[in-house]
Amino acid sequence: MRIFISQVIALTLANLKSRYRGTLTGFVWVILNPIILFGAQSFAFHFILKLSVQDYPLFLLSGLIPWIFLSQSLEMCTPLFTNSGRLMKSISINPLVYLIAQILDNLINFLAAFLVLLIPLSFSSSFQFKNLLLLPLPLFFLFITTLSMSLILATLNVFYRDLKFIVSFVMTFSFYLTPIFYPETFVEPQYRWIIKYNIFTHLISPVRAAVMGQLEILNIFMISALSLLFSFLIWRHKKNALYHYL
Amino acid sequence: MPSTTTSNLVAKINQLSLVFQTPLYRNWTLRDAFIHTAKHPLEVLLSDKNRLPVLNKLNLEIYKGDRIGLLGVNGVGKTTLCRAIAGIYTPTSGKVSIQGKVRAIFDTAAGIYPELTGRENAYLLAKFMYPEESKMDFLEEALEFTELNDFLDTPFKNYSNGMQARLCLSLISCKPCDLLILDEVFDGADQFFREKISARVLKMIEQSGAVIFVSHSNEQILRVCNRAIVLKDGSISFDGKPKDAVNYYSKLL
Repeated sequence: MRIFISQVIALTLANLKSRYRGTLTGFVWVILNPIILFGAQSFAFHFILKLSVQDYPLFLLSGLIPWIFLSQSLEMCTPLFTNSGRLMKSISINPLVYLIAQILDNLINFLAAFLVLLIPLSFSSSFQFKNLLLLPLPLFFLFITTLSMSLILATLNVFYRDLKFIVSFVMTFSFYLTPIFYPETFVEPQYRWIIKYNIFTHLISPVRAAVMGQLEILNIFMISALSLLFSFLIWRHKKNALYHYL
Repeated sequence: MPSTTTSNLVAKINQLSLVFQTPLYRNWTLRDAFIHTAKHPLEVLLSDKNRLPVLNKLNLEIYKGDRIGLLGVNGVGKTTLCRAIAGIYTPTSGKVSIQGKVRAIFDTAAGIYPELTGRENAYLLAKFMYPEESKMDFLEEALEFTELNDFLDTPFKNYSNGMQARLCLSLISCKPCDLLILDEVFDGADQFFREKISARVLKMIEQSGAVIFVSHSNEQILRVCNRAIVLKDGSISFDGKPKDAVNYYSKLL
């Protein structure tokens, strides 16, 4: 276990380093990317579409940034085993170390962008810093769910290489079907079921609730427990055959 | 020849079979899988068509001091056997039991992050090759041994095959281990470095453990090994002195 953790840390740091090696500003890009997206969306939805939501920038931030973490992780991890087949067959390396390092890397980038945006917003909105104390729990469950889903997708992608394309397309349309840039209350009652049965709603809204000062973690807890169980079963069943397809 | 006392046993491979479950000549995508299943529902459930047996009830005992040369034609399962011993492949049936630590490298072009420098990749590789070591003080010595000097701080992706081989081989031969597996790894390095690295590997073997050495060069097998095995049809068809094995092997062809 100690070895596992030390390998994960080494790989996470290397991942962070390698992603922006060769760029001039390095880590700034990591934060700039979500900030620009956030800026563009808050301009479009707040000033052009004039969505009447209280504290819209804060509202958008608390949904969009976790969404970027989730969708980016799933899209990056799905082809992870497939692409690193050569390495996995060349030295004895636990694929889980590789996967966890990738998601931790994304998590660190996500937290950095989140905090950088939150600080200026805290002066111009009703945000209270004590709400940060509510964040670790939903974020922990979000991390566990992202990890489990990524493991399932990365494993299955080795057997069905179409998955990569399906994931990217599902994430694109899910962005519009998940209450990220609009509140759930804007949705007409006859379409509510789409939001209700959309698993991503229940992953994103606890983070937003925490930023707004509420703790709602029952759904995300159950989803994370279930996906962890599923990923464990699939991993146990497939991890040996995995190497035959790499 | 191997001594027969069990205390010197490094690895025992008992009735090892390895069957690849792999599509034989298809690109296996969801669409193909769907069409195939719709066309031949029974075949998908029952058939063994996608199973490719590589190793078949193979038995092998490796003792301390053995320097085993592994001979066999391409595709006979040399690398598969080595990967099974290294714990990368799980046997379909049978058992591989190892006393101690195995170190293996199967691809000397293996950089973990090609964007990062040779030095950074070496550190990461060492983390996986020597997971039990908390101090990485042996790393400097290995990096010096590569004689890559300033190239160590340039991206790994820009290395030539030979330079990558130098880095990986120097790393794998840092510390003695109980069983070292070298699978056709000397081929990338230049003549000069090959001499140098085989001296280093030989020195390390003398210090402890056993080695499995896969090569298509009879000359190398004869020079490095004190025991040789010929693989044929998924199991061992000859096990004995390297000279006899090379003779036996050349008659097979």
